[in-house]
Amino acid sequence: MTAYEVRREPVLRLIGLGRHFPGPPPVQALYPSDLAVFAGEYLAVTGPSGSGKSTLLHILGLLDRPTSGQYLLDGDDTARLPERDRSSLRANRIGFVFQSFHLLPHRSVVENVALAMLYNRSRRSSRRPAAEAALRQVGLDHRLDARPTTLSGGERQRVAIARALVNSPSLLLCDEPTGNLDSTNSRSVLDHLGELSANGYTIIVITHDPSVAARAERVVEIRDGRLVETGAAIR
Amino acid sequence: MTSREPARFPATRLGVRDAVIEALAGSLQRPGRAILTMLGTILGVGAFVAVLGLTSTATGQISTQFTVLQATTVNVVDRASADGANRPENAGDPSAARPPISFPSDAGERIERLNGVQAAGLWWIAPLGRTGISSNPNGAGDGEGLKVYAAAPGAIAAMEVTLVTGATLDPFVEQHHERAIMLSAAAAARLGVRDLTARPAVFLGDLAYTVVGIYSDSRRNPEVSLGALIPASTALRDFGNPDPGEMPATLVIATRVGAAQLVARQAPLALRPDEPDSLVAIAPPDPHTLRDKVSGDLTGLFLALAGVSLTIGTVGIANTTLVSVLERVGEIGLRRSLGARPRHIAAQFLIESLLTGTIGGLVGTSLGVVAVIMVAAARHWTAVIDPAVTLPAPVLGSVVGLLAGLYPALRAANIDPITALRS
Repeated sequence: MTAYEVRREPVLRLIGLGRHFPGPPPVQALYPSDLAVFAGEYLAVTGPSGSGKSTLLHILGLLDRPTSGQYLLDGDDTARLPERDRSSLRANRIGFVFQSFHLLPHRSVVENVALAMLYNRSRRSSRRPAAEAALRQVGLDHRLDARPTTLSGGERQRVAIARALVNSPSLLLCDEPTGNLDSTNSRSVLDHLGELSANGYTIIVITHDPSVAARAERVVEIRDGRLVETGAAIR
Repeated sequence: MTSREPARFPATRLGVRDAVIEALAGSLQRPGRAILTMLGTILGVGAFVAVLGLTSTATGQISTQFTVLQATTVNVVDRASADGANRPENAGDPSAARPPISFPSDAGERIERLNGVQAAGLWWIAPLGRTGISSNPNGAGDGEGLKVYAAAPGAIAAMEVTLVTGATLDPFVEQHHERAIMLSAAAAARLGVRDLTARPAVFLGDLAYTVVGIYSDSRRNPEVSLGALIPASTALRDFGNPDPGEMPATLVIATRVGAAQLVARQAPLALRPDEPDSLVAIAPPDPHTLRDKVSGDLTGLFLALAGVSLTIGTVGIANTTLVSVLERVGEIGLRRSLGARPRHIAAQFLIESLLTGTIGGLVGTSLGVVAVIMVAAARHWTAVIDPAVTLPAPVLGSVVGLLAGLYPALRAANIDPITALRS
């Protein structure tokens, strides 16, 4: 073990992780790669479309399985876990933020956030207070009972961030979080992500937008299915 | 660094209450569509409840009528005569030797002494042969087709004829073989008899019979409502023994409610202690058997229609749930990303269709009950609603919803979360 690893335990570690789609036609979406992300890191994964960003995101989010290598989340080898356990990890240790928000339009803001506690055995009575606290973190505690359809794009993405935070996950996975937002709203959302990083959250942002990647402490680029480190962590 | 042995992770779960709340929220996203979806189930379950309710209500009415009239009637016939009536070669043949009446002459009186008997007496169709009833002695057949019945006073009482004017054939005319006749209102009109003060007569062949009374109908034996009645003793003297081919001598007994079965068992012995088997007492069928038969006949077709409605309802719910699944693919992806397992997704959609079916069943049951009550009220009937049918009826809706939800729920559970999140 290196001195670096002794100092900080990696939240996420990829060892020779690859993903091959048998096709037809067969595609090697990710070539075997290594990566370690440490607690509190703010990492951006960039690359042109079709480079394998989404494949990596789905594997990191436990929605897909690698065809080779290992994916350790908090030290647990997730690749070999049964679906039952992977669901549990998704519910407890991973928070997703999607480009298209994925908010339920007929449910209130606070209900949308509390939805993240529906499946992880949280007590029913604890859900609303936790959802309100998460919304307070993203500055939306004044819109608790509003419908998502009445919010601006930036506000909607902040609701989605609150939903991702509500279970205090080990890892916040953001897929093009500003892809559907104008520049003002993008800035607001990125500011919030920056704040969360400062508060110790581990964040991975998948983006093709260099200005979004620039906000991260560390940038990894995917080129033709290969992970290439392009920027060192500041911390 | 090596991976450590994976710990047991607490499996994600979806509590029943949470599942119902999520399903309700899902159903209520489009309330208009939910109501339209329920329509098939509402109609099916409503028709089911209304058909069974109306049938039991109508059967209740039939049973009431039945109890009042038929259930208090016992007919006794001579077994040999009854068999003879079935022999077509004897029917209506005047040359055939007509057997004497096997009932004792005081048959009516003997039976009236039995407990539970209100009135009893012998009657038969007077075998007039080719001579008919007419208003003049030359036999011009203005009364052609009118039947003349021989009836003892007890039989007339048992028939419950409604006297319009004049008198009935009393024991006096019976004992004295008087040529007296009671005309039904229809026969009186045919024969031109209106006023009895002048003691008008009608002719059976060339025999003049004095019209003593006019009756409108008979409650127990409606067939005599279109004919005429003459004393049994007079008929025996003037026209001879009854023709078993036309109608054997029959003892009609009016009993009190509930006594018919007992009287039927006792009558042959009371009439012919020496040979009770020579008589056959025909008691009314058991009211319960009749009621069951009536309900069976009436309900079959309508239940089939209700079944068709329910099938349409099932297809309707299945279709809407499937559309809902396809519309909410993104939501399914989101829920999977939040830890939902395929079974949780399936449960949510299954409960949605179950709720739709159950609510449809409840509304349908209510409407069915209201329909039964309204029809009963309009007809001044007593609504008969069987709790054994009504209470489980909403469950029918639930079953419909459950069946309808199976395929869409399976489809939803099998949706790949990655594809779903891209939608």
